[in-house]
Amino acid sequence: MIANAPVASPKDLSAALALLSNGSDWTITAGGTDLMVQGQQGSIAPQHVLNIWSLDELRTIQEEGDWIVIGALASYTQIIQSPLVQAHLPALVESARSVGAVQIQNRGTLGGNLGNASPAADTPPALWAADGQVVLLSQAGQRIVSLDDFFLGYRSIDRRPDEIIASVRCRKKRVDEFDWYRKVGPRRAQAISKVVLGGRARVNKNGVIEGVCLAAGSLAATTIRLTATEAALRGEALSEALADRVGAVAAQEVNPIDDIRSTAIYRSRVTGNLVRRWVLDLCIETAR
Amino acid sequence: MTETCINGKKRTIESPPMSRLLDVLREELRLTGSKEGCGEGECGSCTVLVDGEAWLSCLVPVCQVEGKEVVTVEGLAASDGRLTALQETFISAGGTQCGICTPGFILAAKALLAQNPNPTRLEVREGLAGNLCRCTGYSKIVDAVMEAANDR
Repeated sequence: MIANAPVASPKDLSAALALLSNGSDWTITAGGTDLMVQGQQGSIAPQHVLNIWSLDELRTIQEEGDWIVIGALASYTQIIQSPLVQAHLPALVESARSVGAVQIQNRGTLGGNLGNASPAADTPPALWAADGQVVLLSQAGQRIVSLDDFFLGYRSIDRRPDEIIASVRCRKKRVDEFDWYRKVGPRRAQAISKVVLGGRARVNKNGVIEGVCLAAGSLAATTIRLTATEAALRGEALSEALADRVGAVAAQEVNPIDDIRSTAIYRSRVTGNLVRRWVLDLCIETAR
Repeated sequence: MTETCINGKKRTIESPPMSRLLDVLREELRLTGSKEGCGEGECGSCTVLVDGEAWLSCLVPVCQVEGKEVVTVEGLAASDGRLTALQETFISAGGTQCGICTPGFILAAKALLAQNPNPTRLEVREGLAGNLCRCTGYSKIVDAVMEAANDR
């Protein structure tokens, strides 16, 4: 039972980093929205819990040149309400709005979403599309890992046992870029995704896609990047024909599984349909 | 031990620090208004207010309410038993039937109205999307919240 797990509640970040480097097997918890469920069901039995909820220094959202730096303890509610995130990372706001409902949004955190590393996590596709980088801190210093390298396998991430996820850096959307986010689940609130996609496309004034990043959840063992679909978009002029072609590429590229939430065939089909719709939406938005 | 404030009273919690706030409320403090529906953050029936925000007490380790103000449904009515306007409209609009979900709905609605005193019906539905009810069909719950908002 999680109730009897030993817990340490450090008062500041340096105390937390000192504990993490003491060789114990720590399970870090922020708002507990994943840990308390897993602990109650008995699917995990933490040796030592490190409760970081009160480390306010990890709650800030700041602007650094072309980047927005979001503290790992920023809640979904904080992200939804942040004028900086609203202005520069619209897809991330949408992803945060799609998590659970208000009660979960008040307690779930960005760092927790990355640390728990569910393949169905809602925010990583939006973070990845914005060139997201995870900032890890330990007593040895800071390490920055691009989301391209962060997910190692099913629920496995590039974080050493002595490191804490401190913040996430996302590149601000430029005026010639278009952010996009779509989550498909059984219900709009309080549901885990069957397919979740986040994208950012840079389109020049001739309607040609000059750069694109497209990431997806619930389609593989980790959040993934759809590189073949990106390649099919890059350098192409927006058109309905492109939408049809690239939708087919996306449906072909992904290799999902049947599980309790959906079927492989549904997930592939929906992925293709959503990507096709994204390109059609881009045709309209860029024509404005 | 956790020092916290529950319904305006300072309390020292004896239960271990990773105990679920819900269990501490119901078993240690005998405040049984907060209900366990699903126990995994899906149904909202264990909703309480912590420093005014709606939290799911089944997912809160009690050590995380150290120094905070917790309000449960027992903390709403006046000391003479007079109900709040929101509690009254849940009764008058028929927003409650079996009653299991009601404390969670009332606290979620209280947090919503504190942030948005004049919500639209859609905003009420969105604000209460984390609370499930199997009796009312939701319309009367939305009516109750809209009435409470209009009465203020």
